[in-house]
Amino acid sequence: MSERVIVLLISLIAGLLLCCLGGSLLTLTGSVPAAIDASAPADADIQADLSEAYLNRLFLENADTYPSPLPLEGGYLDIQPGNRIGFVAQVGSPAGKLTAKGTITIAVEDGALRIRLAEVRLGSMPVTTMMRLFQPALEANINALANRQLLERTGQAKVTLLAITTDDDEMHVFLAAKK
Amino acid sequence: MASDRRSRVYSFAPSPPPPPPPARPARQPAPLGGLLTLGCLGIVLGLLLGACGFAAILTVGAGGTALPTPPEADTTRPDIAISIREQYFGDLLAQSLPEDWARELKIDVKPDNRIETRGRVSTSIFGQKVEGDMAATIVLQARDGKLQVEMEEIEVMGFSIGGIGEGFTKKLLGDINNLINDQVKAGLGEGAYIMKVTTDDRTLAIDVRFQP
Repeated sequence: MSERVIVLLISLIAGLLLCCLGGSLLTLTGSVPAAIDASAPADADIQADLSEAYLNRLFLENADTYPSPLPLEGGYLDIQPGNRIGFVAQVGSPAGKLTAKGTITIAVEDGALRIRLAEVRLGSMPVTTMMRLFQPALEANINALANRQLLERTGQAKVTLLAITTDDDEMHVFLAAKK
Repeated sequence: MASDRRSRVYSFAPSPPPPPPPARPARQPAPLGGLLTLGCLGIVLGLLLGACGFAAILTVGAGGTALPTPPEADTTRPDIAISIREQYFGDLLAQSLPEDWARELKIDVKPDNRIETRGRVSTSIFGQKVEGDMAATIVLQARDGKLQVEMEEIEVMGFSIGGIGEGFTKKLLGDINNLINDQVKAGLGEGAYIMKVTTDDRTLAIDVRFQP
């Protein structure tokens, strides 16, 4: 066996090992996103507790309005403490149906909703960074849509968003009258 | 000639050794630069192959048509439970009254769905302008999926006008009911169905479900 073949084989194996190492690190880094420390404000005029079942119905009913690169065909949400919402979303793709899982975090900044795609996985593969690279406007579009819907609901009642908290099965929305 | 033939036949002398084969050229080591290039190429190939294999293994669970089972929903719970603070509800109620009907209106949410209101009123009953302190107790209920406000008792200047001011209170209640239900519709949407209304000393709680 010539040196050339030996070098090629050794480097090929080294490349494979490097890839396995990198891939393992990549799968390990996609851990559960940190909880957001939000507490119920004392000065809220209205508190609305939204059940998980209701949020799931809204999630599916509005499926055709999401700014997703692939059409949403099914899925559900799982409300978790610490302002985290787990999601399972089945999307249609040219390669067939794909199921993405992940977690979003939800917070209130200056009276507006701030939704962040904290973690997205295809199977076991984290694709959060890839989504941010290839769909840089996705988060901004989701936030714009959510805030537009919030304004439609709260505009006539003349209230402003104060805070949002979550527990195992409800999302608590705190609103205050506009001064 | 004869001696030549003899020597050819009877000679047992060893024949001379064959000439050695031509020497192979010395093996040259591969140039270092070429090996390095080959090594880099191998690593890149390995990385590419590994990435494809790794991605294939990791995304195996992403395919298929079956969705994982969603968490079970509790069907007895409301879709939205709203708690409204006394002060905000008072302001909302005050907006529903005719502009010059009541001043200095104070709302006090009580348990058992009762709301006490106090203020100064100025209205006409039997053509007579009446002005003075007003105290009323209204009851909130959920009926046919809507909020329903009913007058339990109303006194103006200490006198009950429940009977004689029936037309007046009916119109007033109609206005309040319309405003509250308009607010509910605006905030929650068309399909909102009020399941239950409850009060304690400081808040009004409304349970809502949405009909398909």
